Amino acid sequence: MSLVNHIAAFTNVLGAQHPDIVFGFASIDWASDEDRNQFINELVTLNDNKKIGE
Amino acid sequence: MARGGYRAPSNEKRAAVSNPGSGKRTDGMAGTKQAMREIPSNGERGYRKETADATQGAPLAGSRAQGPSAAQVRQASMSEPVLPINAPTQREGTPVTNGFMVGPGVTPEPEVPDRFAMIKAYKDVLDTKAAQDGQSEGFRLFWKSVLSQARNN
Repeated sequence: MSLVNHIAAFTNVLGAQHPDIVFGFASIDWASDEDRNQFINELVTLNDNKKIGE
Repeated sequence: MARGGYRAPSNEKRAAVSNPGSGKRTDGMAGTKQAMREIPSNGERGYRKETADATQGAPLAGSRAQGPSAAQVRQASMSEPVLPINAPTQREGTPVTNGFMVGPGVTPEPEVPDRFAMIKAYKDVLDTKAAQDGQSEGFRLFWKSVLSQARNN
């Protein structure tokens, strides 16, 4: 996943009105791309479960 | 005597054809031990003997692998006694459902993969980032919410 898609995934999860949150996560020094992608997948899972922000 | 015209193919077995690089032998010697070959020593003293000694120790490609024959394997398996189906149990006191998800006996715990392993792995990094000066309140609240929900799932 490219950085653009990475940001887009966060934006999709959090909403475009939270760019500070998006870039807060994007600036993390990930050990690998796999780690980063897995992290995003887990956020998406939480979001799909309607758990974030409740 | 007729000449020319159609000639039906004979039933004789045709000679095998090997494509270059396929490694298939066409001389009917497949599976037999390869003969020892001499390699030019290029003038190096003792090279030929050293090579011959080394190749004698291991089977060359195409030779049959050394191992127990099928008969030996069969004999070894027959030497163990076979319990008849109506024989008394060899495990007194162990329920027949031991190891199953239902019934008496040991019930294995189902393996539940940690769906949020990476969120937990990066907890310290993101905790530090959330605590940094200048970090937005939105980021802090969001990360707190993510952690809380990941723990409960």
